[in-house]
Amino acid sequence: MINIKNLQSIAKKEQDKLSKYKGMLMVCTGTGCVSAGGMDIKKEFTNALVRHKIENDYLVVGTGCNGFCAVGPICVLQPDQTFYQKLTHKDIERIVKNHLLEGNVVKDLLYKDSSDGKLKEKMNDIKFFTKQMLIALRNKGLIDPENIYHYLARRGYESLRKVIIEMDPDQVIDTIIKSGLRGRGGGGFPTGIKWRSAKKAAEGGIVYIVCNADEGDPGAYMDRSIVETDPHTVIEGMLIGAYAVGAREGFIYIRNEYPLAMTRLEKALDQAKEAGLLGSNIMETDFSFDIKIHRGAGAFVCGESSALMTSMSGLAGEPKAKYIHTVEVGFRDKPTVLNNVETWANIPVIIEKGVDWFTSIGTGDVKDNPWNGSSGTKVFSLVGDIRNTGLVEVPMGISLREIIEEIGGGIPNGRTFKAVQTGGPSGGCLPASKLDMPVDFDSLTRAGSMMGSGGMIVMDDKTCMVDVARYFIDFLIDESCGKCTPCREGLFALNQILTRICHGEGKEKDLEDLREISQTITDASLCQLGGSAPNPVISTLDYFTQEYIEHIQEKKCRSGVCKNLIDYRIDENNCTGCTICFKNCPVEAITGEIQKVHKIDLDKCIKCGICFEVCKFNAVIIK
Amino acid sequence: MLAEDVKGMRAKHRILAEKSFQVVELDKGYSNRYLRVDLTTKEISMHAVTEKMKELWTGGKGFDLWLMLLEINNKTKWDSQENPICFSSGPLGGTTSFPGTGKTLLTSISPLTNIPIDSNVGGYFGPFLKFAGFDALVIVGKSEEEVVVVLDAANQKITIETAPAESNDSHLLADELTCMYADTEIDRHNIAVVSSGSAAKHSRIGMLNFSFWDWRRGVSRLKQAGRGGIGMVFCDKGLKALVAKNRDITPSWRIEESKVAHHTNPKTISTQDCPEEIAFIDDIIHRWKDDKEYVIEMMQDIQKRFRHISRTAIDRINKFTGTSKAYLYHIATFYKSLSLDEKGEITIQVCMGTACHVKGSARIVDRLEQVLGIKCGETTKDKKYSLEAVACLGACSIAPVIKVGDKVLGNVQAKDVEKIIKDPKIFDIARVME
Repeated sequence: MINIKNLQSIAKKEQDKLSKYKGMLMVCTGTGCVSAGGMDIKKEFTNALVRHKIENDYLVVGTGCNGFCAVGPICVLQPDQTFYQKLTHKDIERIVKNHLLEGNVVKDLLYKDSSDGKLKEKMNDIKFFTKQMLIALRNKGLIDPENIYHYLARRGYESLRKVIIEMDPDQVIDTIIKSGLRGRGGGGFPTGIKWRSAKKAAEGGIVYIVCNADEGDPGAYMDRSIVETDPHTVIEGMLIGAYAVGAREGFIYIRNEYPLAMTRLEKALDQAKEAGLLGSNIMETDFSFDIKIHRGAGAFVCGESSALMTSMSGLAGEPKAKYIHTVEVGFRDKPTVLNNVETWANIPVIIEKGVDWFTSIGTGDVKDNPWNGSSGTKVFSLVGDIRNTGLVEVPMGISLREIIEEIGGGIPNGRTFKAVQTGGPSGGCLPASKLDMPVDFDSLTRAGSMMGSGGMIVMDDKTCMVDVARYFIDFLIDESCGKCTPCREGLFALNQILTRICHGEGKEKDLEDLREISQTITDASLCQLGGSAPNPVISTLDYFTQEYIEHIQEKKCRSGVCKNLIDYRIDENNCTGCTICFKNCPVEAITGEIQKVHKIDLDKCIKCGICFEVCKFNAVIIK
Repeated sequence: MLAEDVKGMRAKHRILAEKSFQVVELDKGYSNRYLRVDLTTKEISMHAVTEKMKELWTGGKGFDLWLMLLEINNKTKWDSQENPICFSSGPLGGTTSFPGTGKTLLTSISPLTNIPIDSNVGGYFGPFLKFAGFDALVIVGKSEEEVVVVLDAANQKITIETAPAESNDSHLLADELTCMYADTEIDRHNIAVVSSGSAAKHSRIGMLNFSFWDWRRGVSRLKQAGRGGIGMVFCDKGLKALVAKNRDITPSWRIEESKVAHHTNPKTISTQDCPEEIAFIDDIIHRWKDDKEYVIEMMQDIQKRFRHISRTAIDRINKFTGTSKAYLYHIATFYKSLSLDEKGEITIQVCMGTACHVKGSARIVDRLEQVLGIKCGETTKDKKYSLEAVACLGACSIAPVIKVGDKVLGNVQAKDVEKIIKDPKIFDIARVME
C-alpha cells in the first residue's frame, strides 16, 4: 500500500530499477500503430532480445500513442531518443543486431524530412516534435500505460500527495482559478470557477466528479490518446478535483468505440485501488474517493453535459434546458463537476509546477480573471490532407500556420491549402487568409469557428466546401437527439438545400435561406450542440461563397467531389494503356487494350472514383 | 402488400370520367381556383377563387362555408343530392411554418343534426390538393356505383373510377390504394387516401380517414375527421375513396439518402425462448445489481452476446429494474451500438469522421455496399456481415479507416474492399496494408 510517507521512496526505487537498463525500446501501441502492426513489432522486439541474450539489458515497453501516427509503427530508443519509423517485422532483427549490439544506427529506418531532404536521427530533431510543448501528454512514449509504477517513477501521484499534506481544498480551487485553466472539451469554461460553484451549491453535501471521455467529434482523438497513453494522470487529476470540492464518488463516461482506452482505464483503476490510491482512506488518510466507468452507447449528443448525465442515469441521452446548470443540479440531481479528459490531465501538472509557470504559457493575463486569455497548452489531432498527421500539443497562441506548415509539414502531393476545420461539427472552416491567427479560445470564436475538443482537419484543393458543409449537417442530423424542433427539423431543411446544391439543382435564393435557417437554429435550440450546429454552414458561406455560387449558377464543382456535377474522363495524353483502371473498374465501364488509350463509357460509369484512385499517371481526370 | 394483388384489383377498375388539368404554382398561398366534382353527372369542373372570397372568407373553414352556401338551399338535408362535402386547407395549408398548417377543414350538412358541421383533420390529402393547384374541393351528387376519385397531379389528370375489388375498411383500403397508385416503393409517400369504411355506412357518427404514408414503418397511417358524421355523407354519395397523388415535390433521392429512413420493423423483433439464453440475460442484469442506472450497460452486454436486443431481453430488464418497456425500446433505438435487428457475425464499420470523409470514405461505403449487396445499416441474408457507417473511430491519422470485427484497418482504398471481404485472411493486416 502506498501512503504519504512511502510514495517518494517507492518512486525512487522504481526509477533506480528502470535506470539499470542500458536502454528502453518504446514501441508505440496506440490505435494508429496497432492497426499498422504495432503489437507484432513489440512481440518481435522481445523475441529478438531473447535470441541475442540481451533481454536483461534492454526493456521493451508498449507505450500509448506517440503522436506521430503518420509514420507508424514507431519505436523510440530511450534514453538517446533514436526514432525509428514505418517498421515492419523484418526490420526488428536489424535494429537489435546493428544498433543495440554494434552501435550503428540503421539509417534507412530513420525519418526523412521532406523539406530539407535530411535524415533525422533523434526524435527532437524532427520538426513535428520540436515545436510542441507537452503538459497533458508529458508522459507519452515514456511510460507503459498499463504499469502504475512507470507512472510513479515519473513523479506520478506526487501532486496528489502535495494537496493532501500541504493544501486545504479552497487553496486548490484558488490555484486552479489563478492558473486560468479553461475547459479543454470545447466550451472553454474556467475549470476553477466550475469547481467553486459546485462546491458552493453542495453546501457540504454530496457532489460528484465526472470525467467526460465521450469524444464524439469526428476528426478528434486527443482524449482517446491521453487515456491510452497515460490513464493515471486522468485519475490523479480527478482525485485532486475530488479533494478540492469534497466529492466521494466519481465517474468516467467513455465511448464504446474506444475498446483499447477502456481496457487501459479499467486496468489503471484496478491498480490504483490496489495501491491504495483510490477507494477509502487514500494514502492512509481520511480522504476517500472512488471512480466507476460508464460506457457510452454511441450517441454524439451524450458529450453534452446534461445529456451525458441523463445517459449515466440509464436514460436516453437527451439534453435539458440550461436554466439550471449541471454544476448545481447534475447527476442524481446533485451538484456535479464535469470536465474533459484533457482538462483533468492538466491538473496534476499545475499543482506540481505552480501557477506562475502555467500562466507563462499561452495568451492574455489570466491571473485575475480566467476569461482574459488562454493559458497553457492544447492538444490537437492534426489530420486530413497534411503530411505529418498525428497528435500535437502546442502552447496556446501559436499560429495556425506554425501548426500546419511547420509541425504538420504542409500539404502533400503538390496540392495547395484550402481550409482548416477546427472544433468538430460545431466549429467552422477557416481559409488561408486566417492562417496567421493565434490559436486560442477567443480568437477562434471571433473567426467563426471554435476551439472545440481539438480536431484540426486540413483540407486541400480537392475538397469541396459545399460538400463539407453538407457532410457536417448530415452527421448532425444523424446525431441530433430529436428533442427540440429547431435542431431536428432545421438541420433537415439545411441538408435538403445543401444536397440540392450538391446535386446541381440549387437556386439563387438557397443561400439566403441557408442563412435564415441557420440563424433560427442558433437562436432557438435547446443545447449548445444544436446552437452551434449551423457553424459549418455559416463559416463556409462566409469564406467560400464563390464555391456555392459556382455550384448554383454554373453547375460546377471545382474540386470534383459532387458526383452529379462531374464526369470521369481519360486524358489521352497521359494514358499509357497500363490497364490498371480497366482491371479495377467494378462495372466494366472502361474499355481498352494494353498500350492503347482507354476509354470510359459514361453511360455505364457509376462514378465510384476507383479508376481515379488507382491511376498512377494522372490520366483519369474529372470534368 | 403484394404488387400482384394490387395489379389484379386495378385491372377491375372502369374509368367513368376523366379530365386533364395543369398544375399551377401557388401565389402567396393561393392557386386561385377550386375543383368541383359532381358524382351524379360525373362532371369534373374548375372554378375561379375570387378576390372577394379571399378577403371575406379567409381560411379553410371560410372557403368551405362559402362554397357550401353556393350549393345548398333551405331544404337541403344531409342525404340530399346537393349536400356538398367541402375540403380546404386555407392559404397557409401545406406550409411547415406554423403548427397545424398541415390540417384540412371539412364542412357538410351533418346526418346527426341536419345543420352544417365542420371537422378538421391531418393526413396529406389537404396539402396534396393544394400542391396540385386547388384551393378547395367540393363534392356533390351521388354515384350509383361505388367509385374512387383520383386526383393525379403527377400525370395532371382527374379520374372517376369504379373500384369493385378493394377492401371496404380504411386500414386495408388506404394501403391498397397507396400501393396501387404509387409508381415505385419510394413514390408511396406521394399518395394520400380519404376513405370512410364499412361502419360509416351504418352509423350516423361515421368518420373520414385521411392517410399518409409512413416510410419509417412502411404502412399508411390514418388521421380522422371525426366530427359530425361526414363519413356517412361520404358513403351516401357512393364514394369509396378519394386518392391524391402528389408531384414529386420531395425528390426520391432525399428519402433514399436520408438515414432517418432506416427503420426497425416492430414485427421482426425476435423473442428468445431457450432457458439458457434467458438465464444468461438474467445473469447480466444481476451482474449490474438490477440497478436502473445501468440499464444501458446491461443492454450493451446483451447486445454483445446475442448481437441484438430481443423482446425477451426487454421484458427481463423491465421485470428486474422497473424501467418501463416503452422506455427500454426508446433506449434501444436511441443509441447506435444497440439494435433490435440481429447483427451479422462480423460488423464492418466504416468511419465517416471528418478526416476519413475528406480522404474519400464515401467511396469505400459505396464499394462495400456493392460488394456485400446490402445498404449501410443492413445485414447480409446469411447473417455474416453487417455494414455500418460510424461517426469517428478516433484513428484519424490513418484515414480512411474501417473496422472489421475488432480490427482497425487504416489507409484503406475503395479498390481494396473486395480483397478485404473475399480474402479469408482478412485479419492478416499486413497483407491488406500492402
